[in-house]
Amino acid sequence: MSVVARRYIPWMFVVVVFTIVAIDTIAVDETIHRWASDLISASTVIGAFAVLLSIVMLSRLHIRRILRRRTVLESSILLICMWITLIWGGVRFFIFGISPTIEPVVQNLFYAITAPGDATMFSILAFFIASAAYRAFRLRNTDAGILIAVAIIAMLAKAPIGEAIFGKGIIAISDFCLNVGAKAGRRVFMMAMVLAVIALDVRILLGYERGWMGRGAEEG
Amino acid sequence: MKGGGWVVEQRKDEKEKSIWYKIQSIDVKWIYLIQMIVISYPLLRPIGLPLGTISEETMGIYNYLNNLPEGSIVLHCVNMGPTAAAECLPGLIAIVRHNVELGHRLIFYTNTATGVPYIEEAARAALGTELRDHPDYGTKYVNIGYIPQGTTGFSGFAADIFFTTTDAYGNDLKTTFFKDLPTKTAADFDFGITYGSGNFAWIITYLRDPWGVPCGGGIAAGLAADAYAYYPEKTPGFLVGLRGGAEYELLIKKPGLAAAGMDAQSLAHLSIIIMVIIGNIGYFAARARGRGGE
Amino acid sequence: MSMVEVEILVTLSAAAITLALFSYLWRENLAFRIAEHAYIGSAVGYGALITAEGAKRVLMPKLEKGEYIWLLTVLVGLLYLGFFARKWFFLYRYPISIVMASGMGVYIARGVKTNLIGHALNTIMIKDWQTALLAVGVICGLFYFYSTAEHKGPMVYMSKVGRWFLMAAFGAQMGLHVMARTSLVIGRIRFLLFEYPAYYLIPVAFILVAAGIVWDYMKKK
Repeated sequence: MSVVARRYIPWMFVVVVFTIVAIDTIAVDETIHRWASDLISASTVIGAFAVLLSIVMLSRLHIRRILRRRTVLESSILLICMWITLIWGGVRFFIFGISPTIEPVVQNLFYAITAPGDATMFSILAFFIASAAYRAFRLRNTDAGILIAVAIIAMLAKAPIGEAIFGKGIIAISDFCLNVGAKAGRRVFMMAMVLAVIALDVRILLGYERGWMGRGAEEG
Repeated sequence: MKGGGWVVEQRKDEKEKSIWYKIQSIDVKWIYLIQMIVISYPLLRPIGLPLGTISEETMGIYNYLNNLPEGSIVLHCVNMGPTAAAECLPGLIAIVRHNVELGHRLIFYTNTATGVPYIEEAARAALGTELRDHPDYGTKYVNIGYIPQGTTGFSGFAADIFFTTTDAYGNDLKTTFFKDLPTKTAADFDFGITYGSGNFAWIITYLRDPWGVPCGGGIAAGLAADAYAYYPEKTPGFLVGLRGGAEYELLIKKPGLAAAGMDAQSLAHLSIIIMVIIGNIGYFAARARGRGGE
Repeated sequence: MSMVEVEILVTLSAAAITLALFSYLWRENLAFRIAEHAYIGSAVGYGALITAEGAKRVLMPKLEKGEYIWLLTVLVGLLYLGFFARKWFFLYRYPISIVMASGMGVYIARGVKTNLIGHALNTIMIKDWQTALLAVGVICGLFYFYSTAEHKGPMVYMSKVGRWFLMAAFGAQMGLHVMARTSLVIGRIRFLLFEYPAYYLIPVAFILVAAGIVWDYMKKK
């Protein structure tokens, strides 16, 4: 396939779609608005197909593991859970028209496996934070001191025990830390982030940034 | 060096025997066990610590919603997954209860696939019935459901509220709820609230600034620092995690799950602070001991 | 199966998954791996279904109006599968380019207005000593990231002050993050302790972990 189809046409899509959608956010023109609206609808539908990638990738990876006799049990369970949800939910939705939002089996599987799994995986981090707090948070210099001090003040103020021990003073100090110190820091990050995003967008539009094209971006 | 090796060996032995070294190299499993006990105990035997001062940001969103007239349209963006639900769901339920009491019209929406069941849970808790079965569904309450592509999808919805044409249950959106809206865009909303562990900036960027809709949040505490950057210039207030939910529950005089979890939160925070202090005492003591041996 | 029986099964499954995942705190084990894989599979399946439902609700009304050109979006979406073929990999770039460009376009003007100009204007509006200090913090913080010139003279102190404000932001984020994770643990433990019949699995988990600890100890000996 020529380099035009491999590189230049996708790049052209980026430039055209970006231009129309970006102009729509700042200009009031019925035609541009209609085109932009259609492009956003199209990208909403097209983007949804990305889930196919995750399904196929996971299936390939775990079928290979089963065939190579590695993690047979775990991979089988993953594939069973995924495909039962997809097949049952898919048939009920596409053939019988029952939305997965209200389909009982799909919702029960969500509450039985996905919800507790997701919540527990991230809640384990609380224990890791506790062990990190014990082993790694050291007052080595002023910066670390400020970080730990503000963290402790925020933790005390956001739990009732802080006010119970230290009175309303801790709330005032915490408000100051959050509304001045943390606010300044977050604003700096956000402003720097926007500048970085602008730079990245310009690089993509000018064709300097080709990482989004995936492997073989340099050759086309 | 003569005698140098012996001095180093002695220091190594002393270091290993030192209580400060032992404290610093405690097995992490003991720390996990301590945390587990510290969090579980107050749930079984509540201590009853008073919640204390209601924060300004919580009062801000409460007062704003309180002053919205009956019939105002409030958009609830329930962008929470199971990860954020433990923190944000109590706040969401409290705010929805408040809205229902004040007679506001509610639109539920999510840009997270896992947010869909929590819309149903919040509506069930606040309305006492499944959302789609409520007699006022379609006139006072609407569930837009999930729109893919996050903020891009939301932009499409904000520019045209009939972006999906049907609600989450397949009913036509051209119902009584949206019939009398002047522009049929997000500009017709009176307040927008985002929930979950996504950033707070998105609702200011995609709803407040382009469409002039005041916005608040019931956000996970981990990302609440972002919200302070917009407070109070761009947002009247927001709830910070479980504490914010507990405060809102007290304000509407309906204590629930959030208020019940505050004791455990207090002890957990205290235990982590104590661990930081002990760790640092051990560190400085070990350092001083090391210097003294030279 | 009655509704109550289904609810009991769902609760037992949730409790088993929770306890199996918590067992990672002891050490990585088979129960944890099984629970982890079950969760990943189920999450991907559920996410895919909800995404498909959302996309259908955007697409179907247009097809029902007779605008069959919208079927092109399905064809373009299927090009994602080009990812798996070496020869046809370039097809994957078509849907990516459209989705990425629309996301970029939707953000750029709004992001600049809210997060750059908006923050800059709000920062320079000084009302009292706190907002003055905030302005100093933001300006010094921005100087910390300024890398086009060497930090000499007053810039050294400005970037140091900026770094302090950034550390304050990190500290606040860390403190609030602790609160967030602790709330999650509270939610999980409350579920295990108070939800019928989840609490019946707690002694089972304790016995299994205790047996595992004894087994580890015997193996070490």
